[in-house]
Amino acid sequence: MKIFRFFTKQKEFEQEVLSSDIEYSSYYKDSFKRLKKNKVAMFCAVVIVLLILIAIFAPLICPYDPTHQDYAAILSPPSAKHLLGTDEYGRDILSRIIYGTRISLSIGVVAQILASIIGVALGAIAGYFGGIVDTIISRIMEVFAAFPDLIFAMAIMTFMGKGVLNLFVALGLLTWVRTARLIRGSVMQLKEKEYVEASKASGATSFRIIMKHLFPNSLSTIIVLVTLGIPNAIMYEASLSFLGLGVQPPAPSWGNMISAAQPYISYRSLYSVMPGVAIMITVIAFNIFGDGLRDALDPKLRT
Amino acid sequence: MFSYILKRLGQTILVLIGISLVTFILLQVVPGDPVQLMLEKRADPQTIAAVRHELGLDLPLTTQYFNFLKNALHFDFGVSYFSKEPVTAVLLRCFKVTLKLTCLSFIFAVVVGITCGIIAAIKRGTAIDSALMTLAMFGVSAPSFWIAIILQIIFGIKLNILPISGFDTPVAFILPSIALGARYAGDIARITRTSMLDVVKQDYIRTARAKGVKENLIIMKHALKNAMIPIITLVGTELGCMLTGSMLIERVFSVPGIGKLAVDAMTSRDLPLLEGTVVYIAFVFVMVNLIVDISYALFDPRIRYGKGNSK
Amino acid sequence: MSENLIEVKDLRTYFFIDGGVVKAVDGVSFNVERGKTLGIVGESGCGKSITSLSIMQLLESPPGKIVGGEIIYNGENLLNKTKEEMRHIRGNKIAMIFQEPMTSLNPVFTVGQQIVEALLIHEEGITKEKAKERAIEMLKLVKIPLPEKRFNEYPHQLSGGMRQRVMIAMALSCNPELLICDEPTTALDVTIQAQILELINELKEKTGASVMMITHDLGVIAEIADDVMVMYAGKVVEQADTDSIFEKPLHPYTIGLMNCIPKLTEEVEELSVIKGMVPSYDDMPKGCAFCPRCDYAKKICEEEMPELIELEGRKVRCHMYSEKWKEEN
Repeated sequence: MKIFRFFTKQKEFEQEVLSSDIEYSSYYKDSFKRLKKNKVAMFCAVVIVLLILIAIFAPLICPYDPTHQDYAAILSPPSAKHLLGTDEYGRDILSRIIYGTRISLSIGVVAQILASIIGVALGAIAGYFGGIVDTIISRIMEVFAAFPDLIFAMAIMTFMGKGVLNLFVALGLLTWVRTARLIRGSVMQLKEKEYVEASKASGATSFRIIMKHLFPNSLSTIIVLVTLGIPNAIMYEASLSFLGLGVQPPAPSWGNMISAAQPYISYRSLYSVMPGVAIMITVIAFNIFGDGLRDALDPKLRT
Repeated sequence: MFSYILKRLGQTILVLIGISLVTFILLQVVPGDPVQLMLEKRADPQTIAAVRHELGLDLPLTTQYFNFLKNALHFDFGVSYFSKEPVTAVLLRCFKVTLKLTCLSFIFAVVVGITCGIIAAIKRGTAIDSALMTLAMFGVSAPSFWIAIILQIIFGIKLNILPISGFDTPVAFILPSIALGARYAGDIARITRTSMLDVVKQDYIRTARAKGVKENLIIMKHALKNAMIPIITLVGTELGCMLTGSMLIERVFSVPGIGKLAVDAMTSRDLPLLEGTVVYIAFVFVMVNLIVDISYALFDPRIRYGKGNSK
Repeated sequence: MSENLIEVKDLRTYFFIDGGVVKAVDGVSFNVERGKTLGIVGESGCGKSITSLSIMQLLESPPGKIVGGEIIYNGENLLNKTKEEMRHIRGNKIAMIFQEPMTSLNPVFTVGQQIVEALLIHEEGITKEKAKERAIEMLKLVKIPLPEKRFNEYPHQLSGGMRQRVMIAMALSCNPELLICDEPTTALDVTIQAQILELINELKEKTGASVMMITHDLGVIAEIADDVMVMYAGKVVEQADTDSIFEKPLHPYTIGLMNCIPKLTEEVEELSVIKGMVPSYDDMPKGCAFCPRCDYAKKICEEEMPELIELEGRKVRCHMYSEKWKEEN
């Protein structure tokens, strides 16, 4: 009898989980409506789409190959031929900035996806198993959170070697803790709920159901964290590349361009200014859009 | 209060051990033999073995870790591979410069940030508010090293009124401090505004008005002291970030601080120096966070007296 | 000097929010006599708190604005005072205590600091030591045990009742002539409620201050008030002295409120309530605002807002007592 009751309870709970999908769809509709009202955020969304298009179609837009060196036109001022001038190797600055969009966006997105995967996995494991597993993972999270961010990324880059792939990993490792904390919290909440709903006698909690419920529940949170994490990652990438520990020349990145331009600030100031403007536009667009998204999806996340 | 400090202290020790462990593990996975790196390629196997023994690198990993931990506790990280100076001496010398830069930036960020935040909150909805908040948004979204370069171009080159490098004269610190502080000033201004707007809605502000307290005293005394709690949280974490952020600024202005030291150690793979800087910066960072956490108590009597005390 | 300490004439306080005007207080007139207590009764949202905040000029502005009327205090119109002059009156001549003792005290200052502050603002030339003495005296007066110890405690260390006593001590510290109490007992336990009311009554006798007691609870009025004003949807619907109101309520709304009080003498199956809710500003009825909830309503009530008419020395805003009503019958 007890077992039978357990199964009916289980069924009811699954049904509740399934039926809540309907609520979720209207929830997203409502959120989108709220987001659409936020004019500034929508404008930033347009900017982001434009940036993505620029990144994808960089080869078509660029007037020159970003690594093509023209020794006849070294550090030339802006002209009709080179709209933003050329750098110390005679490469077209505009083309390098356009290609920089590719690197920055891809690093931002990939690093954040990586961070979300690590965060969701470790957070879910910690929340689900609890006990000693939770303690260990929580302590690890504390150490990661307490480590000075830039030093940590620099150390990883030094130890693993420079390169875009390692950059993904370094930046991913840098930002997973926040996601992990949130996921851990919601898994623990769900577990409690499920434990109450299902038979206390069996004591078994269904991992499958938790995962099923967890995902729609936490999806909005993860989306917001990723959106707000991207500008962060872009900033770190620029910083690391500026220090010579990120994207290596001749591959163009906004950070390493500013670094390369620094000796020439006295007479080619535009060279160092423009990549920074690109960073700023991107970061502002993601930040404002992310804030708008947060307000629309999950106002509780506001800190 | 006392048990709170004790708990935070225990947590900090755990974190410090964790950091030392992470640093140690990272050092183990460095590609290439450090001894070979240190002696360059000319050394014969015998010398390598001798140096290896001298540095304790032939011991088992756990022993190596405990030695590392023991030395770290004494702030002894060995001798730099390249300059042959004791790492601790280099660290202290460079840290003085970084500390000076960080403190100045910190003061700049806190003073400018809180002032702008309060003004924006008082004038909310006006053009002043929008202007300040837009400025803060730019400050937060621009890389500090880029702001540094822009400041160099404007004040150093175009106007030629401030030096763009060095650290010997007090004026030389002006641009680096602003460049490093700009981002944090923006952050602080934003949180100050939010926090103030939240606090002035509270009932006790109405009580203060009903009492006939002067409007500026309401803001500066009744509201600000309550609004300070989230501000301190942010300021605290930012103080730590500034210590590491100074790396970028030191590079732009060629200031020989600990950040430049770390970058040099990383690019030249000077492992003892690297180890020292990482542990040292992490240590300072964690300590700053600890101090900040304890200082909340000074602002919030609810923490100071603990929850058990309330009736 | 006039017998009336404060005379409010045709006060209008509107809130301008996007897409509309909320007439929170719409032509309210009343007097508070020296040493007397006026009770203002009504459900939440009827404008009684806004009336008191208007007197104190503590409205959130924008959106709130006093658009008309006069508040004559000691022969002077408070609405013509500058901000600085008002500040000297607030907490000094007119003091106020609020509904939420839990949140009305500043959590980061001690109880003592908060009382001393009021004294330092308004008592000219008072020293800190003297102010502290006075504050402890005040704490004693409001019957807080161990006042010297409480003086140095923070609000979170006190219970709700204690905090409300502190609020009263603070409000009375400068010997105000008028004490406005905005639902001072609503957030408290029943036993504490009675104690606080008794304390207010006692202190009123002692200091000779007038009291404006705002409440939704006629029980409180019976306990404390000399005169009563019943408000509904921003307007006065009935004004009379306490005895006659309890003896014979005139307005259907007052009658409804009366019926809501459980009577110990009668065996009742269930407590009667007034059906429906206070209308929101965007669907204010054309006629009498109470008409949709009124058991006696007739056609005229739906069409025409009744005037406040005088009847046997009291005032009531209802068609039932008008000539037209008799005609319609």
